[in-house]
Amino acid sequence: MNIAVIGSSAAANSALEAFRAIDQKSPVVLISREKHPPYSRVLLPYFLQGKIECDQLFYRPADFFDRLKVKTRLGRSVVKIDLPLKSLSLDNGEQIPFDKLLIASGSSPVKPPIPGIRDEEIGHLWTIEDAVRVDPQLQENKHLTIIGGGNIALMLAWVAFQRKMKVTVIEWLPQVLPQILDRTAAERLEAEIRRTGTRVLTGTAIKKIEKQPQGHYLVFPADQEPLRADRIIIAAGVRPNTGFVDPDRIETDIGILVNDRMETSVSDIYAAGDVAQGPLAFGGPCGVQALWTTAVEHGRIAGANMAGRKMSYPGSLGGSVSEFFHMTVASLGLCRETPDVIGRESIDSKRGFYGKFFWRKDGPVGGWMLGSPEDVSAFGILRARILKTLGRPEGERAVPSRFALGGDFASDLYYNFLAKIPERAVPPK
Amino acid sequence: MKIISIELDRCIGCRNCEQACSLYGRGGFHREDSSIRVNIYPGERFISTLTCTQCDAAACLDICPAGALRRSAETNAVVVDENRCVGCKMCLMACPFGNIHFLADKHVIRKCDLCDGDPKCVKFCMPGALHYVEVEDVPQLRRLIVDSKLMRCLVIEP
Repeated sequence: MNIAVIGSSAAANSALEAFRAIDQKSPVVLISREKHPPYSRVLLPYFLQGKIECDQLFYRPADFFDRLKVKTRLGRSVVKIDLPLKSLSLDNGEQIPFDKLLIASGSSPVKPPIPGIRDEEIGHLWTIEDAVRVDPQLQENKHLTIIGGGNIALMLAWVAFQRKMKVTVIEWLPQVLPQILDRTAAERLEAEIRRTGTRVLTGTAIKKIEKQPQGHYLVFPADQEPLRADRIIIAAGVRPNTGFVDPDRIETDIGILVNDRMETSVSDIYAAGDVAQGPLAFGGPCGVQALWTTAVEHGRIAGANMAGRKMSYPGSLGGSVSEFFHMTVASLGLCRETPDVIGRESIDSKRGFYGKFFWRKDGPVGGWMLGSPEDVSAFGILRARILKTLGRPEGERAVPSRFALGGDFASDLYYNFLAKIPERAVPPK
Repeated sequence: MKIISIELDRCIGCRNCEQACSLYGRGGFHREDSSIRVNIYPGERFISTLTCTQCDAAACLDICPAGALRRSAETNAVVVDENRCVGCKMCLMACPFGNIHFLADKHVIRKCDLCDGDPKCVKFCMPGALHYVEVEDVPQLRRLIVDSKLMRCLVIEP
């Protein structure tokens, strides 16, 4: 059985590991646009921060592919999938036949439709090449404008601030971290960021960007004075890489639609990671999450199923954690109030903890927080509790087979959970 | 292969284990530095002591995007490479027990590494509530504990 894998990041790698744990024989070919051994995008801001060296971005050993007996076509992209022939056409004309295919081609950052944004020096922070290119550009006292107000944008703003740049963050939605925090929390975070002298413009559309003959840019926010920017970086979201997929053959919405076994609408073709639109933990229509965690989970399920083991994916819970401007932000699960779901604020101003937890009748379903790094460990416990609320077996599976605890384990967890969340977020009666 | 087993009935909440862990791991007596945590709930008359269970299917090990966690061949513990850890906190969010902790000064995580096979928390546990035992012996140990409890209930007059 010939296996082909498109992509070489989190989803592809965890799929390869899961596949090889079951099937050591089948030949595997991996095709990736990346020229490098597997590296971790999550680490790019830390590289710019100077916390790690370039070689530490590679989160798997250099001989990772050899060890897993995977043949590679690095630096190549797939032009077309020939479904009847079951073969891939690469950009160098090579044909790669397959019996089973995994599409884990990931996603690419989007450029918002702003006049002047196509300038080739206006880039992203998405690949290792981007990071190496951006690194020398983060110079002291230069003006940096970041377009977007999500996690990556704010992490980048934090790194640039630490490198003594004058930073402006422009988000066109009314708040930063629009997918994570509610308005009050976002305002708190914005205030914290502004206190450092970093400018945050929310609810601000950009009319145009003009390159000046002196080399810098002028950014024209609507209704405001133009801003000087020596560098501009876009971090305004990502879009699945589905260019080579024929949407008439393989069902595609935003990403490639997959079922709970990570199978696409065509048999023997699987998709995983940022490119896949898969089941979510709380049911409902499938979604693209573009998260490292989700990609690893997707990959594991896809790899096992490709090797013939039937594994079902109950849906991703999502969840993100990041730290910037002396604030740690974490979010998990369902964070919206509905008739069934009640949100409870949890505040400990002494420790600088501000969180909100969401409860259904049968248990917690989600939460977010602004706080210290250590507080995040409560979210690990919360994660297990949410999985329990959802009646998911891996809430139990997460418990080691030979666990080392005496006493009532569940109550242990519960007590620990309460101990970590100040001013107990009591479930509604 | 040995693990740390906690006998909660015996734990008196003296926090010696925390102190020992902090001293040997970080050279001070700070609760925040400890990998084992004793939570005391006077209202509920309950003490919960937790340390890393070195899970077989370790969520932290699976998720680490920096390749900073690995399984030690000698002790089977999941250990941290502080040079690789960037402090992204994904493992804190993955651990269902809250057993991974964050060192604010170094900006990396800290977790139990079983002290390379000689856990100091066990060594300095005053009431003998912590045991460092072979995995296979855990059921035996638990049976002994239950037996001794039963013996206490069935007080037989001489």
